[in-house]
Amino acid sequence: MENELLQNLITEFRRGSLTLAVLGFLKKPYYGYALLQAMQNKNIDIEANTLYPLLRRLETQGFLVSNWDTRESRPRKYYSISENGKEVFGQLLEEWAKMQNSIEGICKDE
Amino acid sequence: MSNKNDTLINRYVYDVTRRLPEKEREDVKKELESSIYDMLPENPGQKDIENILYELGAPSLLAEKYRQKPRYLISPALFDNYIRALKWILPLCGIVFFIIGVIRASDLAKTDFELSASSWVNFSVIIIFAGISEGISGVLQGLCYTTLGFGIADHIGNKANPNKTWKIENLPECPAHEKNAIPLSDSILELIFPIVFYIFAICLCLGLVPIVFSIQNANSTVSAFFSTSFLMSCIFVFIISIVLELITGIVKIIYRRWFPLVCGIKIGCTLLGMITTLYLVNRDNIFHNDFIAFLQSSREWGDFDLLRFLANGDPRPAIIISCIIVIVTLTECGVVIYKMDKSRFQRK
Repeated sequence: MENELLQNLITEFRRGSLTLAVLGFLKKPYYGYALLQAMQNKNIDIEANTLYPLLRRLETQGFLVSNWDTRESRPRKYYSISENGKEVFGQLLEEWAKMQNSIEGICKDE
Repeated sequence: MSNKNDTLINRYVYDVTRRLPEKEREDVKKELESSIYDMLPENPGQKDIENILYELGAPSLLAEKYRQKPRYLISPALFDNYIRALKWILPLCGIVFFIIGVIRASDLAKTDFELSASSWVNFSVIIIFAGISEGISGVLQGLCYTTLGFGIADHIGNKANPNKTWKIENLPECPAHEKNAIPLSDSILELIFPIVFYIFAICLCLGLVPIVFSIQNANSTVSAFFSTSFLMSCIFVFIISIVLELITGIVKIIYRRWFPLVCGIKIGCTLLGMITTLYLVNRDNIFHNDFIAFLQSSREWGDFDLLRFLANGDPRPAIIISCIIVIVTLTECGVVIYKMDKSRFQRK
């Protein structure tokens, strides 16, 4: 039960930072599965059923752009960060740094 | 890849996309299919495909993640109110429809039954089952309309931002201390059940629901227990009781605590109720003449048989019942006074 609670907390904790990670990766174009592998290679624990809907959501929100590459035998949808997405990424990065400093400050106080 | 494996993937993708808005389905279908094929090894077998589909998870959950906005019939914000409403609407509907069912069934059935000892059981069973059937129907209707009402209210309310429409004035009062508070559910049930009972009793007195009673007395059948004048008096007393219950119940619901005013009203209504009940118990001509005649003409009753006293018109049963009524009423008043003192003590 405790493990399950901890896992839930970790999932909640990661949820916000996944958006930051995805925007960071998509400075160059990736299709879904390739991005999944790239993130997992960087030890970012994310599942396919989380990443694929997240990509669509970020695109709907205007942070990503996509295009279908039909040159190969199987068409693939490539995502990359939009101008709006770059701006938001910068702001999110600042927030993340502030949060990190705050938490480090709390830990040092203890 | 074999056709069978393609079909498996197609079925999975269909099960995900059919749950999405129509304008998104085609794009999600293409993207999901592409992603699934990317995740598969070269020349995948059925087992590989199954593993990937299980990794993606249940289609309903994946579709939920793809949906941009969550879908509810009644949102979490309104759900508590919905459950609270159901707690009193469903019992009320059940009881009201039960009574309607009993009245309708008895009205229909009484012409089909001779009021004899052998058929009154069947008659009672039929009207009770009819009441239960109507009661269940009433509960389901109550559930349906309550859910519909809240669903519509939620849909309309969703268009407004709750943070912008919320006002300080709309904050509810804090509930009273738990030990002193009169639970709202108790007050509502104490209001509903007696009133429903009295309405049913009035219907009985008016003959809308016949009193099924039959005794064979020599060559005649006794089919009335109480006299007409007594039944009319009962109607009058029951109406007064309904008014007293309404007053007590409403005051308890408004104040929710045993304040002196609430206790005073409760005691006053209880005493008035006692007076009216004593009037009924001690009046003349309670029983129908046929029933009295039956009691007097029947076998010898035992010395302490209640029916003996009734046959002789002996006032002692009425006196004993009156004493019991007075004792119970005074005890009830005592309990109310105790609750008031306790509430006063807690508030200090």
